[in-house]
Amino acid sequence: MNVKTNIRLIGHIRLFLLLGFLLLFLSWATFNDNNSLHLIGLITGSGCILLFLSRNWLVAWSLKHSPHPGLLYAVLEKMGLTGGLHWSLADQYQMANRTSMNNPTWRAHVMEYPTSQFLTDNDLDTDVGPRQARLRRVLFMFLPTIGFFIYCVASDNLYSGMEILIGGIAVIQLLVLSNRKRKARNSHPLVRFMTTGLLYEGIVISWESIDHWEYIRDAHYHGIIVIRYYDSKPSAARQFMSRKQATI
Amino acid sequence: MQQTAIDLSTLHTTKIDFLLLLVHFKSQYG
Repeated sequence: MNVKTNIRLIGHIRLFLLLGFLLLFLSWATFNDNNSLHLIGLITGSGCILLFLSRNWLVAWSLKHSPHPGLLYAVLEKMGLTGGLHWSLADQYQMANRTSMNNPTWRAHVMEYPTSQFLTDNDLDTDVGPRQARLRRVLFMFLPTIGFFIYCVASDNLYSGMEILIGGIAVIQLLVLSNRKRKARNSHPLVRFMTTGLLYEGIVISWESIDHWEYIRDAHYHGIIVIRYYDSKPSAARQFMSRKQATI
Repeated sequence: MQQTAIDLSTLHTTKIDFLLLLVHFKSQYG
């Protein structure tokens, strides 16, 4: 499991609680003497709730078995998901992060994960483009299309050709989704991660000058990254863009 | 000390992706 998938699993742990209660409710609703479905729902639902309750254990287990625990801990900490960790465990990873540049072991560990490998493993792009509203709309239409396609296949109306038509529409939507996602990432980036620094609004903030950053939510529940950095004469973007080695 | 705020709702990314990139690049090149 790569680092991103691991964080996603921990970050969406509340969904397991919701799923658990939903399964328990369905189990209760379908209960009768001739139906064993409620037993499966009962066991699965209880398992989901237990997984949610043991989320701190899941975080500790992930940190212990992840090939990149420092990266995992740093992101989980910014997302506020390390609050339940035992103090000694949290202290261990915090110390590793704070002394990253002075600790030879930690430094070697970080250097073992080259950027190109990191980007490939986690399916990340260094160019971040503007959010595409149309992408959401296509995605919004894609799920009902798939649902309708399954309904058509499951029904007895096999010779109407409706399945082929709906299936074709679903495939086209899937192609549009994959193509648009790639386009949105690569065209007109607003943020670019470079070896020299972070390019944002035409200014390159060097990595050395960045002191720390926070992830917060504003009054409208929009996620905002606040980056604090020392004033080290940030150069204009053009100077950096002209150097070929600046880009990954 | 200066600061800049990046609104993720205007970008084609997620908070996990963005934080991962920040942590990795800072640890590698910072």
